[in-house]
Amino acid sequence: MRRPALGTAAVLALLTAAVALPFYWMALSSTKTFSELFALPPRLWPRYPTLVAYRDVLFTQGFLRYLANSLVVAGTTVALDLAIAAPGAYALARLRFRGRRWTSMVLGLIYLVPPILLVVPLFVLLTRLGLRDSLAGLVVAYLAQTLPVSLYMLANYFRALPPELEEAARVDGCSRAGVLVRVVLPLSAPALTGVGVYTFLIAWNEFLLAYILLDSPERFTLAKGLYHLFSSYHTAWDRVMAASVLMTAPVLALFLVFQRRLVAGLTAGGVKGA
Amino acid sequence: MRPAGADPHPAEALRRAEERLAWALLALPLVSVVGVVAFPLVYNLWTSLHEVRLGTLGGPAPFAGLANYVRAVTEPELWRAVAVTVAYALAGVALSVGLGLAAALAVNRPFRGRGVFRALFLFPYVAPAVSVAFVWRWLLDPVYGAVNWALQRAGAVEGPVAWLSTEPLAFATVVAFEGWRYFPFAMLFVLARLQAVPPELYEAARVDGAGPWQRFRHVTWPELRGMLALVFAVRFLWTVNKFDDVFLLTGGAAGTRIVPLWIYDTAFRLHDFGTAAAGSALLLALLLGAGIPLCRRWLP
Amino acid sequence: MAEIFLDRVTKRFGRVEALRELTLRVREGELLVLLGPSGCGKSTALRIVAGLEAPTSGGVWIGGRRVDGVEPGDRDLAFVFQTYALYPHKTVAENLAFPLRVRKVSREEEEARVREVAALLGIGELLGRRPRELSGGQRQRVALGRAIVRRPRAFLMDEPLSNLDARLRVEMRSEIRRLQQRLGTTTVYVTHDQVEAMTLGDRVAVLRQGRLQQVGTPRQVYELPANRFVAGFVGSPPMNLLRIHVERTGDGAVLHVGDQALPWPAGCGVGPPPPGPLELGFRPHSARLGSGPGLGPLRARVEEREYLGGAVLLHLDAGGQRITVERPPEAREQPGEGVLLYLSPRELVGFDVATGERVWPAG
Repeated sequence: MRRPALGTAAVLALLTAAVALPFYWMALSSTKTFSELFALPPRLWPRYPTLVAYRDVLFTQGFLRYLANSLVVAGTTVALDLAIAAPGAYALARLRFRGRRWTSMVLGLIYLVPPILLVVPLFVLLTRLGLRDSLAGLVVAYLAQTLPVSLYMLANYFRALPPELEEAARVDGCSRAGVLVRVVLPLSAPALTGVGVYTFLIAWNEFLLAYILLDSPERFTLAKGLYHLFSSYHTAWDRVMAASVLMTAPVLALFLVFQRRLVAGLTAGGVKGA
Repeated sequence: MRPAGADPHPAEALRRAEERLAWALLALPLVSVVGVVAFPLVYNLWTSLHEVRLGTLGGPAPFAGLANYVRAVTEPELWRAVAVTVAYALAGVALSVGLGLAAALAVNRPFRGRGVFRALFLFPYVAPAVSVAFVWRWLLDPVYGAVNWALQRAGAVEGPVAWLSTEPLAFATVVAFEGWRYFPFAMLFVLARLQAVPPELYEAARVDGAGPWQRFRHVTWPELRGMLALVFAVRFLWTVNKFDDVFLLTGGAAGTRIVPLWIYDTAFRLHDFGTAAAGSALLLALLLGAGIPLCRRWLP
Repeated sequence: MAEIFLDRVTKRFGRVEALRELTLRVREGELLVLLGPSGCGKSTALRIVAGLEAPTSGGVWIGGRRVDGVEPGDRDLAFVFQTYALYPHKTVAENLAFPLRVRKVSREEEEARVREVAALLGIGELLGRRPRELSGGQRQRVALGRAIVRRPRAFLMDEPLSNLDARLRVEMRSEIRRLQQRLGTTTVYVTHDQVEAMTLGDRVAVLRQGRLQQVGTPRQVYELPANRFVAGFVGSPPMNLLRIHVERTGDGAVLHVGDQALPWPAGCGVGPPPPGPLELGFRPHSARLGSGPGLGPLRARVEEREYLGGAVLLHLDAGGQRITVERPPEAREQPGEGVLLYLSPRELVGFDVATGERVWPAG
């Protein structure tokens, strides 16, 4: 361990300030009274901290409901995503079949489709299916976005497992599907966690589809609810910041707990010789 | 060599079973992905070839041939949006990659508290776009925002500055936001690559007498070049597609209307879904044209 | 117990031919060693028997039935991997029980067998531990245990001892031997170590570049190698090969080695090799120094001397050809000295100079 050099220290200081400031300001503003909020010079610490903004936002503006909706949508997306992606990723990683490379490429290209392009057709499609303005419709749309990444990350992980374990299980009498369930999945906890957290992030943070597809306030997720709050009460910055904190804090906490798995999953397979 | 026409080798049965299993396992993912993406793509194509307004949305509509495409291509607003988009993507990604590189270099060598910085630097990327966009708006508020106050106090500016509603400031602000929000992505990948560089290379360079800058130029940079190019390319493609960030910051005002926002406006403000769909199709074609060769080069 | 039969098995990976028309029969209850250098196809052959790979052509029969279309799990075989392949998330007991669990054997039966196998292999105290807590030797035993617990009709072992240190290897070698003899299970054992092959195998099959060179008892392979390759691969130090020219003279023969002429000893009970050029093979320990009886005297000069503790190896030069001779530890010969060699006719073999096949003794 050495102390960082001067240039490094400067870079660290600058970046830290740039990154920390907005988040600090978010939390700070959410606990200021109105008069303090708009006072100049702006205070770095509230003289009279208050939770009035939170109370308003949670109980009057409906954010308790939005929070619940976001949890349900994100949670369901994660569960379904893992259940669907794990077997598919195993097929991509271990099974030999014609069209394997093609499938990988198609799944990769899906990423390039601009979300804005999908919005109107999805709008019409989900309306026809009666799923517009419903959390279920949102989950379906989110799955399509998260599955390609999940498949990629899980397939990478499966490929890195020692093949002898699976061969031993096959000789011991497992069917190929049995190998997946009894040997591979139990060993995949780290990858599944990483993918799960990443999927949760995407579903929780998503804005465009929630904005377009959801109409009734009871079904708003936090993303749409926050935007709605802002458009309605532009200048109630304490409320807007409080709602922002409600939306941001869980995600940051989740990230802090699982960051190692997350980072490993994101960068695996893309590093050597790139 | 098996003589032609002989019975297939019994092991074929096993191989076919393996194939069947593979497709069975992939069925759901493929259906969901393709269904939720392919369907809309086709529908979008259909929409682009018809006159679709609010009234005819979701139902039959008069065939328009390539009229929508012509309208899109001759629309100066669209070309302005393209210019803005390209400039925005280039500048924003360059900024985020540059900052990411600096961050990765700063965090590469172990020191006490390194993990804290690494975690902190990922916040802008991990946090929801909605909330960070709004806090930026609050910080940049012309009258009550902290940034303006600080700049006025320091004498750098004279009056309130409308960062998000003045041309060309808005563009600069949006680019700055892009750099701030996505530098962690670049940092992650560059850092991973840096840590894969064998330390002996640096040691050999030191023994050979190379100073820090030379070590960077001759050891670090050659190892990083490939990864930086990849990150740049990937982020460029993603940035061209980005809707949320700019929409939430400026709504497309003051010279920040990028192509996705043009599409949104055409569809949901002008209610000309056909032309919007044509624009989307053109955007997609461009992206595929750039993306497929990339995929082939970099995907296993 | 079952017999395993490979019928003209060929395996190609893309353009690389790993096995060529391998035909081999493993008898019921025997331990057959597949021996050869890396890349000779021995592991591939084993995996084909197990069903982990499919042959490009040819077939595998186990117990009289063709198994090419049968899943590995249904062939009733056990496979012991070089890296043991123990399930890291299971305890030793669970690892041992897994093959039974998959087959839905009753719990009491499972427990009984696990205990029996653990006792047999001396790993009873380790049953609650995880693989990462075990030493290499212990893991090896668990891997063996997992193979035994099912009482399969054959064991397939892929270099199971390669990852152990030398002393442990010797110990485990005899244990595997004892186990196999006690259980009487047909076993195919792959290794590149010819010492292992000689000590373990009832029979040894030598492979090279995908082709079978010879199959026979260790003694056959050692004393009567089928070709130059086998002669050089089996036995350490390798067999000496001398280029000679055989000239028949009436009833006897003269062997020309360089410019030396050695008369074939009359009355030695062994007929001389066929006339013409020949590569004469003899083992380092079947040469005598100083005086006969035997074929000789062959003059040679000592180039190098290696002291091994239990023996001394002398590297000699005989008219430009190198020979290695094994001497008892008290031997005094030093580099630079000239010596006279006498070879024992019964222990000689002759290879065709061009093809490398053994032509004498014939058969």
